[in-house]
Amino acid sequence: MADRLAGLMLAVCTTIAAMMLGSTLGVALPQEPESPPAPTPESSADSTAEPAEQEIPDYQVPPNGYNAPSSMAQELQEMASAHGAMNLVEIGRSAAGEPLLMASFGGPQFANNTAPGTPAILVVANLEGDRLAASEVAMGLCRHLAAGEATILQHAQVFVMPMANPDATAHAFAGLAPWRGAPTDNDRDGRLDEDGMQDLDGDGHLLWMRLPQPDGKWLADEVDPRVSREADASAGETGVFHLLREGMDADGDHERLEDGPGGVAVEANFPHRWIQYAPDAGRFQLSEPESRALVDFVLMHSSIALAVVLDDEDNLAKPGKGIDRSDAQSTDPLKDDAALLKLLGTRLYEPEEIKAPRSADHGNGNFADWLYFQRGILVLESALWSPPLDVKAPKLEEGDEGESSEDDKQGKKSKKDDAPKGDSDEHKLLLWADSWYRGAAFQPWAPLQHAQLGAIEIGGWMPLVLNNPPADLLPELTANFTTFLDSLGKDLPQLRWSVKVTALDGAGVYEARAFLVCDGLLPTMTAMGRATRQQMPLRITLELPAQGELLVGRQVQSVERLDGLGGNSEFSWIYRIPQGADPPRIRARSKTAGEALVNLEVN
Amino acid sequence: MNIQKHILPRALMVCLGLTFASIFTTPTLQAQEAGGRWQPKVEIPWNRYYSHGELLDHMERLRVAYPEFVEFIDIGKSFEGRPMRVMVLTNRATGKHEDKVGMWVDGNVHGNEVQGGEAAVYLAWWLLEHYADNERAKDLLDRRVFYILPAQNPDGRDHWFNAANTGSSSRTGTTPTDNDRDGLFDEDDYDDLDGDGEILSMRKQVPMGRGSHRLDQDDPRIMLPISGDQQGDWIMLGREGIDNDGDGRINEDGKGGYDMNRNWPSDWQPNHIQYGAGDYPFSYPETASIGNFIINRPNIAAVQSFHNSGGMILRGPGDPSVHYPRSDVRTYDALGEEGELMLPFYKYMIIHADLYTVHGGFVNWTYEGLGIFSFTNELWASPQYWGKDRERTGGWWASSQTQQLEFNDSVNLGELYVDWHPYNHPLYGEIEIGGFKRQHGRVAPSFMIEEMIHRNAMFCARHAEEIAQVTIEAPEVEDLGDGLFRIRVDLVNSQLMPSRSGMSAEHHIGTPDIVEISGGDLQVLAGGTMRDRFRPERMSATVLEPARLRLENGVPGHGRITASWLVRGSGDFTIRYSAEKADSTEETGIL
Repeated sequence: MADRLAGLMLAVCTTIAAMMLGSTLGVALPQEPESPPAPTPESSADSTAEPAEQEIPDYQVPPNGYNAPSSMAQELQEMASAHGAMNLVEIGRSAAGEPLLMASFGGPQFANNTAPGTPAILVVANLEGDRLAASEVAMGLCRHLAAGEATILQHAQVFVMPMANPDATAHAFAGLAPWRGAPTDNDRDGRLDEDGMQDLDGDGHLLWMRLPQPDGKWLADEVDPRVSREADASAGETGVFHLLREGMDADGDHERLEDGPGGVAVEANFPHRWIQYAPDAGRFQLSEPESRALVDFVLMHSSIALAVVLDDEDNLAKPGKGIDRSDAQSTDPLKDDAALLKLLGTRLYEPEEIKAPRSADHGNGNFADWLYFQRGILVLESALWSPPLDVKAPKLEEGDEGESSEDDKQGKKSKKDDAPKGDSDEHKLLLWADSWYRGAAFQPWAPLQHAQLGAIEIGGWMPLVLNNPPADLLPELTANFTTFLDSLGKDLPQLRWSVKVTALDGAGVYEARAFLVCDGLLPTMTAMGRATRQQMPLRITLELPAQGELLVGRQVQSVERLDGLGGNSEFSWIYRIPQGADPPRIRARSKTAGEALVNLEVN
Repeated sequence: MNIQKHILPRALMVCLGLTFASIFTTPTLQAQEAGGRWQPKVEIPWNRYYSHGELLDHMERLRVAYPEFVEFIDIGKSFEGRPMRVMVLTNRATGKHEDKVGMWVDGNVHGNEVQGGEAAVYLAWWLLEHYADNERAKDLLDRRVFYILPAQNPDGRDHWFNAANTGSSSRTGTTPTDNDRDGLFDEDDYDDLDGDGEILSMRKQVPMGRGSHRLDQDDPRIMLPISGDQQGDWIMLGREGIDNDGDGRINEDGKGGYDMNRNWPSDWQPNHIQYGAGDYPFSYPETASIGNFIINRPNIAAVQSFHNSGGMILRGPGDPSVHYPRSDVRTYDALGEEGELMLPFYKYMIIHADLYTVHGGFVNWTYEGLGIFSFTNELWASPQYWGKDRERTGGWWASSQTQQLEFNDSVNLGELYVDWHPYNHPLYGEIEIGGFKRQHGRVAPSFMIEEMIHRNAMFCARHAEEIAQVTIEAPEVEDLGDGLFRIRVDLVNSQLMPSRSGMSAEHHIGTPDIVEISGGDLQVLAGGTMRDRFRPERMSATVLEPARLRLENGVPGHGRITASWLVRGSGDFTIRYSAEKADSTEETGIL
């Protein structure tokens, strides 16, 4: 219980922190930054000497240049009617009644996937709702697959769900918070959604408020006063203001904006590490129509061998070493599976122009974890993009050095203190935002007289800019992802028999020794699949001709799994068949790796 | 200071339960007590077990006899299409069921644990038949509501009766499940080889020295495992069956093959951690319909779920990682200890500590997820066969085999046991089949059924009687001069259970209790709860929406809460208390 509460608190704090910092600052930052390398004296000299010569793009902030969710839905419909190889199925309806659209490409008929041996790949995008780029990339994938030339379709059926959470996506696209769902009583006062965010200054965006108050924990950074940061008491700082979402205390209970619209996060509503008492996790696991529809779809399609989730987490950019044993609280994959993620992640982020994004903190109750930890399906998670932190800073001011050496003298110097002031991630993000968006990404703090709170300031990050690249980058991200997905065809597990049959006498008694081999990178079942026992084992059957007789061995047997890249298992049988009978056959069957059948001929 | 007390005539109080109870009575419908001889209106023989359809028939007879007290809500259908029929038991003349606080009672989530169904219907029957002559039965039906679902798993119940089974099989529902992961569903169940309608044990005699067992010299029905240097000449071959699917295993994928009492949200874990959990919480039609019903009825303040066996009054947690607030444990202990008195041979126990770990259990969810005080009773303890204490009869689960056979041979004239008899098995050759029938072991023998279900039903009644009952004492008004008043009022709970469980308060489950003050020209400046009645200024006051106070902790069991307001105005005012799990009530005063 204590753990759970701690988890809940952590989740809540993380969410709040992420919201306060303008949302992506909740992301886990790489432990060992890979890029950029520490600036050499020369390069920093360059950057300060010739800042004007850096190529500065001129982008528009998202959602400019993005497709509206409604137009994506329409395009999917049109694509499906134009291309025979594509099926579009409504697997459910969102809380607001929007269709949940799953596109299916290749393979047998969508609703009746009965052909043996066609593995399937499932791609799900934008469960969070504000990851518009994920939806765009998934749409690009649909166009590629519908055109009928995608090599992946020679190996697998592909399911794509570009908008897994259409209600939240619609809100995000409209510049609102990505909420969804039925009204909830978040503050439990017996009233629903009576106290949400509100656009006070009429600029069309819901941003942030700085409320000066003696118990405020935040202050404006001295290097860039746009940055709000928590006061550091150990450095003699005092907080000055509260940081709040823009809005009124509509129900007058002084708990501002405590009961905004909607409430349940679809991405917190799946069963693995679901938090019972988290306000946004739902009343029970899969209580939401979106999460339930997705889970039921997966359960009905046991041929899904691999899943890709495009959202805010990324297990490919920096895969860990993995763990030896999983339990109910695991967040890291098992070792064997982690090795696969590492290989595939390297491939996805290999192209020079593609930068591995940072991953959001590991969420509770998310879809990918359910797929992997409860079903044992290998899940590749990509955040596709995150704002670069390596836009070069202007030269530091003199005073920063002084403070640093002061710390030295007091012997309190820590690694964190070592960083020059004004070098936080938010500073870096502002450098990037200023250079890419020329100030349009961050609304400067502007004074406003709040009817209830008095003098405040309104400003902050524009919604979406930290989670979504400028639309100009989408074609490149889409092309890279599409190429990557096509490349997975040769990785899928493929079964092959290697057989040696010996006549033990001249009178019809034979011994067959056979290796069942798995080609392709991926195993027939993940290590986690073995642990969950939710995937079917390989089934090996000896089919004897009429009057054939098994003398030694088993007619039907199972093998839990085979590793990829030649993983194998050996079998043997001794049998007797009448003169002139057809040779026996051995058949190996897998839900995810197809079927392998061979005649046992003397060789 | 000038303290004025306004005590209002009690007739003005609108205290739902008490007032209604005295106004509305329906004397003509009830069972008769004449000459000390109680004669129920509906005769139900409580000496046998009923199919699901027969249980529904009894419920219907009760509805016909007591139409103003009984209605049905069909909350869904089982996998095989049997109605999930909830009996709503309350006196409708005293109010609608959804406006009353009440109790959920169910049985038989495990198909073979049938007697919970009879116990649940018995509760309704007994209360109805005693409405006329028992003040407390009348009070429960007037002020409370019981939602009674005799079988959470009607398919499993009927399968246990209708197909050959052991005492422990047919625990599952009947949704086909591929337990051996071969792509086939339920293809290798038990087989009633000798066709006698029972699934018994198989044994085979082998040459001396090759066996694992020998026969008991005193009673050759009893198989004794060999030990040390003993030699055996018998082997045990499990339950009656053959290898139906030819995979080399026997009886490994029977009908269904899951546990619906592991399919609830709180601490739910997938199958590889918790056997039988299902794909996700509420993944079965039965659990989904029950979950939907209970989630939408915050007026349920108590839960009882009947199982068998072992003689237990169980509460959660099902896993040691789950913490129960101390105040709730005291409430549970008080109820559980009374249960031990009411139920000889039963023991009040904690699921994970005294039984085993359970993830996703029903009563775990109703308490941990919904904040409702919930018990699982395990009906029937085998020491009851001889009425001797469990230490002398072999512990919790069973008296010794010898004692059980003696019971069968003498008290039941051999009714419960099938003697070993020969059979030619397709794989094992000549074997013997025999053993106890399913009616022995986990369900009470017929002549002991009524006592078992009566005591358990009355445990429910006692639980329901202890649901919070909050009254508002007459408000005290203190004139602070210059038109300013301090009003204080005590909310008093006369019963054992708090109006909000500690679990609900700790995890913000449901809506807090609300106490509101209103009046024609009342201006409420501040409001809050008072901690020290001698220092009225020490209150946790709010000036924001001060007329409407939220009581997160509710009113404690056998306890009181003092609410207080600073107001201006004159004339009448009303104080209204409303709660999810206690009756609403109001009280008036004058400034």
